[in-house]
Amino acid sequence: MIFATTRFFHFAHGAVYAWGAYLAFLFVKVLGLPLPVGAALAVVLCAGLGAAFELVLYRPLRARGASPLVLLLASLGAYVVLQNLISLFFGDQTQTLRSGVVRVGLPVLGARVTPIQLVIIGAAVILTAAVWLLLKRTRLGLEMRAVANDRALALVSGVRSSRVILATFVLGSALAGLAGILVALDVDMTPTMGMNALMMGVVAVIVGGTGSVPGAALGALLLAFAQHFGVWHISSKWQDAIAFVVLLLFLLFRPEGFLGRKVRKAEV
Amino acid sequence: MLRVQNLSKSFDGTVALDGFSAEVREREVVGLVGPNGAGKTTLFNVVTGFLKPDAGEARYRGEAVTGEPPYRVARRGVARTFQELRLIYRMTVLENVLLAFPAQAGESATGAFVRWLEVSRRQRRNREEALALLAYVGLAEKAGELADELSFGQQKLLSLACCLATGGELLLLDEPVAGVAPGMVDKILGLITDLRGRGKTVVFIEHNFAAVTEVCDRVIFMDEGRKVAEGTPADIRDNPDVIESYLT
Amino acid sequence: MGYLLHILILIGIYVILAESLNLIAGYAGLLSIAHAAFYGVGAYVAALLALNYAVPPWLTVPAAMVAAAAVGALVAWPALRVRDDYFVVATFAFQVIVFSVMNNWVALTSGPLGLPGIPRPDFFGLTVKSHGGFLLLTWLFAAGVVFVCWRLARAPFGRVLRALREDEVFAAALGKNVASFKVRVFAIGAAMAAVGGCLYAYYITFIDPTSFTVTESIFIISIVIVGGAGSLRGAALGAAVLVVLPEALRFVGLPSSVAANLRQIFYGLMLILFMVFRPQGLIGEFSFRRR
Repeated sequence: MIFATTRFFHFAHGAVYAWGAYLAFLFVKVLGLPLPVGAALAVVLCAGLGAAFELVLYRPLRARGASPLVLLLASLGAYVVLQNLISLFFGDQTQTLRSGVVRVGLPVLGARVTPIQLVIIGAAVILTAAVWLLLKRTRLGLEMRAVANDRALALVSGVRSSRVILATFVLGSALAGLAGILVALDVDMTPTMGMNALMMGVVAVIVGGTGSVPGAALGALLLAFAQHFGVWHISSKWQDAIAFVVLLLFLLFRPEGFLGRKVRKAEV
Repeated sequence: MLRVQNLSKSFDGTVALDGFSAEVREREVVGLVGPNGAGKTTLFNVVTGFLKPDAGEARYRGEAVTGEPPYRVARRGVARTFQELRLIYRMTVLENVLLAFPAQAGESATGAFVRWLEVSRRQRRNREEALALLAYVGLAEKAGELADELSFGQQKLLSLACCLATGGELLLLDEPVAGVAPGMVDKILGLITDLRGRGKTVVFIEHNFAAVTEVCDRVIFMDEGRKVAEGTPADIRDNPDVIESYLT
Repeated sequence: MGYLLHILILIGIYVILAESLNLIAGYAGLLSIAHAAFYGVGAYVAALLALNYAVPPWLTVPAAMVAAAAVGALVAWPALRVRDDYFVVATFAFQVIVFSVMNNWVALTSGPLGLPGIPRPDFFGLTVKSHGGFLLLTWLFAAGVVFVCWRLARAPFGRVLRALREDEVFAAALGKNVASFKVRVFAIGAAMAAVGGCLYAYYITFIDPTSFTVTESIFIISIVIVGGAGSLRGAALGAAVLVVLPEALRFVGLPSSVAANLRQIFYGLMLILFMVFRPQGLIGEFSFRRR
């Protein structure tokens, strides 16, 4: 979503994801707030963090005519800063948001699924549907798609693109924070979790099709599928490498992904 | 010298070239005119290898150039300028021209270290030639200035000098006098005329019909990707199809 | 005293890394966050050859350079196809893949355990062991790398690179084989980074994958940006600044893990600040803006 409207790779997004998990950790484990409250608070703060990025960093840069490359670099710097802030405040050791005993999980279709994993799946489905509805049915969604499609045209048609972009950041960052929390509930969290998630996110966006939300979902599904299929035959530690080989293949041969728009080299 | 047959090219449903055929003979100065969107720049792009046609072919001196990468077409002897005036603005005028010389031993990575004597001798020769070219187009005093600091007309002269530096015998100029002050227009047109005497063949795209009339032996009129008419400037001006194209 | 020499040696290594990346990213404008991968390939090839086959350094270094050059040429491939910010993502992918290989191909590289006990380099009878010796060796190589970059930059080769970064369509129209230049500059830059890797391996005598991660690549590109892309002196200056300044934190008496985090925060902030306020770096020529 963020990439579609702003047309650059907001690498710091990975840090927002990690911060979601750690903020929730702060509220729930350290301050003792109940899980739903702590989680909600963390998500809100993540949304705020996303807004801060847009307002403090990207908007001024765009105003100076910065290219997507410059924005990406600034975003990389931001990622490094944020990841290290987590290490500073919370330490490098693995933490978890889980409470209680690790249960075996219910058998579903021959595999074992824990309750929290069901929640994750459910949340993913609901949220994806919600985002899709937002984009298709609401005014904001329409404006987002307009900006993603052709910013100049959208501006001329009266869409306040800066407001739309801010909204995209807020929404996208909230989702990222939530994702971080859910993952921390399912497995563990470390300061570098953001990097991993970010990598997967980038691959999913590019494979699924840049600029297309259903594309991103499709990409994520395909990626997960490819990774786990690969794990069947090859050892699981190669997951990252597999993901990136897939990414490279797409960049080389089909940079617009499955459902996206052309991004090949500039031509005459 | 250049033969183009049946070129067709479409983008996302818009037809840019529609079975276009034409011929250019050695030492001709040909004007390519037509309304906006007629496919003139697309034609240049196909001939110089920046675009692959959907159908048809182009041959330069008998050898096919369609489907070749742009750098190879350039090395065969087809030099071009761009409608949007491409130059290396952050380099000096002299450096831009030096860049254009072909087959520079110093451009290979090893050339920077071995065969030093040969490379520096070649560089010195190129430098002299570059300065001579700049003098020819009238930019000699500007050699040390950044390309960015030149006036628009001077930048067009520079891009012409770069074309000449490549050694190409066929020059495809995309709007060489568009947007340029009248005095400079005459200068550039004068150069184009002079080039014929030096063995070059020139095809240029222009909207300025007076310029075309002044300099061209032959004019090709294009519309909607097709050749509508061809002949001397006077023929074209009076051609009823041409007039109709401009009115519709 | 030993500490001072250590810092100077590190600066020397980073000068090598920064100058080689500067050739790729500063002169040719091909921004890459895969440089730590080339660095790592150099280190691992040298270490493995020295440890397993007792190959002497005057052979391991060229071997490492060739291996890294091959990887570099591969990394250049996406540059021929996609836009520059997508290309950065591609280099990111390569970096992670190489790291994965280093970390997971345990049979070859011992994975996360790393390779300890790398023998000291022996140049035809002269073994380099002391800090002073390594200082000399490192700076000798650094001078060599800077010399190579300088010659390339001043030659017509360098001019074509700069033309590529400004307008590659124009360069192609002038008959320059853009693809060939991109592959070549990557191969050369990677080979030079490998030299840095060899030095690192011989100096520390222990390498593991954590020295060659994405964050290391980001650090190296930060050096190039802060010092100034497209400037030889800039790359050296950036290396000195970004290696030395965070070391000042040590003297404040912080525990080393905190200092490590603060060091990264420092260069992350530098990257942001320079991108916002001065993308051409301290004394650079290129500010990553397309016209």
